[in-house]
Amino acid sequence: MTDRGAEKILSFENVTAGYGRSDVLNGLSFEVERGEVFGIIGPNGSGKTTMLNTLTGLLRPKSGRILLDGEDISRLPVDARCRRGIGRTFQIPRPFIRMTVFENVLVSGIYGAGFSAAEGKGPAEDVLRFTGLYEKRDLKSGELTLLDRKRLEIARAIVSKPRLLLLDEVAAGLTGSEIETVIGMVVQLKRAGFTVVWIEHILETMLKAADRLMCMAEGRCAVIGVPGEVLASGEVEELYLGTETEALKHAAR
Amino acid sequence: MMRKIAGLTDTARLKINVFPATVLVFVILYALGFSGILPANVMRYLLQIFLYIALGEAWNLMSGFAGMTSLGQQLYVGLAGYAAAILTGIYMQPLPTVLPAAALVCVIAAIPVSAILFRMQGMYFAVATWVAAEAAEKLFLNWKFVGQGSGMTIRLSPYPSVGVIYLLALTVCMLAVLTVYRITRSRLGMGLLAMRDDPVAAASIGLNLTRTRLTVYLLAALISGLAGSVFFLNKGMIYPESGFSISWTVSVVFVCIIGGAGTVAGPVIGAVIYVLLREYLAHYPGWSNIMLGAITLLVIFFFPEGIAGALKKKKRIN
Ligand SMILES: Nc1ncnc2c1ncn2[C@@H]1O[C@H](COP(=O)(O)OP(=O)(O)OP(=O)(O)O)[C@@H](O)[C@H]1O
Ligand SMILES: [Mg+2]
Repeated sequence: MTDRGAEKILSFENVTAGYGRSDVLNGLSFEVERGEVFGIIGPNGSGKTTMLNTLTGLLRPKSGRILLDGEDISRLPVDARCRRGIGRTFQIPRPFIRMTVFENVLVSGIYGAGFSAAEGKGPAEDVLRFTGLYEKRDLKSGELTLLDRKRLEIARAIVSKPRLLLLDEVAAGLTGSEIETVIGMVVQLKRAGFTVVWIEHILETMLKAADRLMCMAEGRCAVIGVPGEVLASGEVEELYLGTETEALKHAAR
Repeated sequence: MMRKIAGLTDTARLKINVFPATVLVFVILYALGFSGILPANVMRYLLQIFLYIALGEAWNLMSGFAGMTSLGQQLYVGLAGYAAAILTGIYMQPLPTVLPAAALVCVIAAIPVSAILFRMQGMYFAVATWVAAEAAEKLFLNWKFVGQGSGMTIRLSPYPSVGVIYLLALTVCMLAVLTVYRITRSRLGMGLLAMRDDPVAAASIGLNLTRTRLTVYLLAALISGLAGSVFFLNKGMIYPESGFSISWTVSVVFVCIIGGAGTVAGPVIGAVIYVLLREYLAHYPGWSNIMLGAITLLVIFFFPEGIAGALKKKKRIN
């Protein structure tokens, strides 16, 4: 699936990070290639969101390096990393609740891509159409349903055209057809040239959209490879002990 | 359906109506000031209103728009008052240098103060701003150079007339209103609202929190300083207790909450009500604070977004 010798866009090199004294990431290393959809799974608490926070700068690594296109970004502040081209969604949506949906996206384009209000209008409307929020653009974002808040997370993250798009469980809590919609969106984003790192528990999404899949455990990379093989591996089976395993095998077939 | 039409078009409509009206009001107020037809006591009321508007806009910019609630803007009111007293009383500076210099002193002082305050957020930040003002009061109470507890007099000869002070207050007011108005319609203004709602998400979309907070804090210090220097020019003297008193914050919060925090018009409405009410309540000593408190509670209960917020909503529904 992935080209040999494809260009690396992101490298985690032996990253250790955590909250307070305890470490959540324990020497995490992996690489993401330009243009791929890189899926991440792992049991609850295995450090997926923590990895994302370390990558976006909300958390500083205690050791190790994070390279974006060869540049060590691990000591840069959050906003600088965004302007270097890292866009993210939050697992629990964090809209600017007293601003409208349109303004949420516009302000992101203004600060993330340096648009003026006039320049940002077009791109903001485009991503609102893409995420299906265009009709709701004048609603206060605090009034949105969970599904729409998740859409808004995506819209706000992509309006600045980040070179690396990070999705944290954007499909969690959605119904079957809504999940299909999200998968469709990610596939389209990939076609449009985005590199996507997608954390998701719903394995179907990973099988359908991911080029490669990493399974995290205890803050490390446990298995990495083609999604079907990763999901069928004994290690993943062990990590997801119980009922889920049958579903896993079924999904992997 | 109704709501969809509101939103942006609504603000666009407001922009067209309010802006020329505001300019017209300022022109009339200037004309009245220059013509000299206003009685001195009317000018004194008006200049108080102008200065509370300016202080209100500064507080509103920080607390209403940027979500940086401050209880300590009196630090800059007092500092500017003292700067005016020192510049005129000790260094014999003329009026035209006094106001800009006093404002500059505030901005310069605000830089190291912000470095300490910005380590805190939310309620801790609010309390820390107050502590900073209290610390300044203690410092000035013990500082021989500024006359300790007996304070300082502002010396200018000739001393500016009420008419001149009126025009200065009007200018400070206009600068404050226009600055905040411009900001609310700028890139920075959107950033402030985003930061107020969610600083973490705001940083994640590329907003530099420290730079944005600093910009707002320095601007608020500048405006509060300009207003403070004119206040004490009008009073003629300053003491540590009058300059750095928490009652500045109490008045300004009243002005903003009554009028509507987070709107440009709010402090304007609030300041008019506040100054008139204060005059009226002065006839009933002992009742004034109770009445102000009761009115604040009533407004919070019936118009949580202040009078300006309530009017805006009514307009939207129509
Ligand atoms: N802000 C925080 N402060 C302290 N501990 C935290 C914080 N956030 C997460 N943790 C802890 O870090 C560990 C990893 O959490 P993380 O959110 O990275 O897991 P995750 O893989 O994203 O899990 P999930 O699938 O539930 O989203 C957990 O044990 C969690 O309790
Ligand atoms: Mg998580």
